[in-house]
Amino acid sequence: MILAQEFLKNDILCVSSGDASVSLAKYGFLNPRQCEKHCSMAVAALLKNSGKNLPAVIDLGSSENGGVAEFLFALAAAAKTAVRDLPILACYAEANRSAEVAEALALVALGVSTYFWPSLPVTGAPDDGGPLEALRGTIRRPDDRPYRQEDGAAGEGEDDPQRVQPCRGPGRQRSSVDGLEIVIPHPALSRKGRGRTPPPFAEGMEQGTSPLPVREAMQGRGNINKGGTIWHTRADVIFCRSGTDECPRGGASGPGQTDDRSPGPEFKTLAGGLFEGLKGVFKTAGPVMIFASSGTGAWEASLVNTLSPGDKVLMFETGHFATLWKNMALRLGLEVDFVPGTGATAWIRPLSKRSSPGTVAAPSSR
Amino acid sequence: MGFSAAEIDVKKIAAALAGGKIKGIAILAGTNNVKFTQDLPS
Repeated sequence: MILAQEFLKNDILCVSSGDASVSLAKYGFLNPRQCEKHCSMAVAALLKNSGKNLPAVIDLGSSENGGVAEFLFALAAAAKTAVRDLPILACYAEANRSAEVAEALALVALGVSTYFWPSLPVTGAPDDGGPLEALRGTIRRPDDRPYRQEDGAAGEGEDDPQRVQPCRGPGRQRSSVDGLEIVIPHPALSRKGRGRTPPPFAEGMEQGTSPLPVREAMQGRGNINKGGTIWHTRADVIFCRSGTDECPRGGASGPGQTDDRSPGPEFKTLAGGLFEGLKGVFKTAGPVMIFASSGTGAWEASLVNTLSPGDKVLMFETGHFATLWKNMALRLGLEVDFVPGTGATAWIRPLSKRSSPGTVAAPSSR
Repeated sequence: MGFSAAEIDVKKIAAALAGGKIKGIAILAGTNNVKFTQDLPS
């Protein structure tokens, strides 16, 4: 909310997607009637002339529908330039679902400066700088010294309590690596305007390199900055991998090394033991395979493992995802008896209040 | 749900960027955590 508030007041247009829109809606940022309340005159005037009933923050839908990419490509076409050359910044704070991770990765690949993962300050947390300061290019350590690249390059075991950020929430303490955090600001969003101001972490890091393919970035073959946590994929982009929020300082050191959660030799040994143990859980002597997937993959696995094409299933419209699951079932050849919701609040009404479902045939032998 | 690019006059947004009427665009996403629904400062 605070990010949106500050951006809009400072002549920066905001769009949103996914769950961020929920929070923004709660405070009226998606209400067209409150557009002028939240925006600077320049942004309000632009929104008024750029569409019908555009709110302060333009919601582009869920992360799954590609709305952000669609918007960026259309904008780049209109501007007759590449997406990477537009003054755009993306903030995927605490994105921990596959759809959002994929979208954030895609934006990095497009050359958009992308903030990813490290926690934003929460209510009551110490004010030691954060995304807004990062966006202004003035990230500072808790002792008020500006962050430098070498702050994150200390050796394993080095004890510098100042490098550990204050606790941000229950059971959460960011490592010094994540303390580097946030983003390399696009020069156009810095206080110095559109000049090519060097990003704050630029010292000692390669500049002007070509964007790395996403696959290479994911495998850590880019310019790794400490523990493979941050990839410097191009001059204005830093991508912070999810999942290292609570990584101990010692474990994070050693550029190029993987941690236990990465698919290295240690992980293979660990996983091998787990696979053996899973045979007992599933009461099988055969090999156990783990199907790693998003929730969407679980949908598919549940259908193909229990039903056959032609089987009849009863499904209820309990939200957008229920509809997507129904569509998947149809594509798999199932005969779906779908009980739709009616009206704007149908998704939250009890099923017993809905129309009666049709008769569903007994399931197959499986 | 949400606006599509077809509903937004991206040419005007591009012109506003080129003309310096707005400084940039921020994409806000991924805050699927209730703590980010914190109250706004007064």
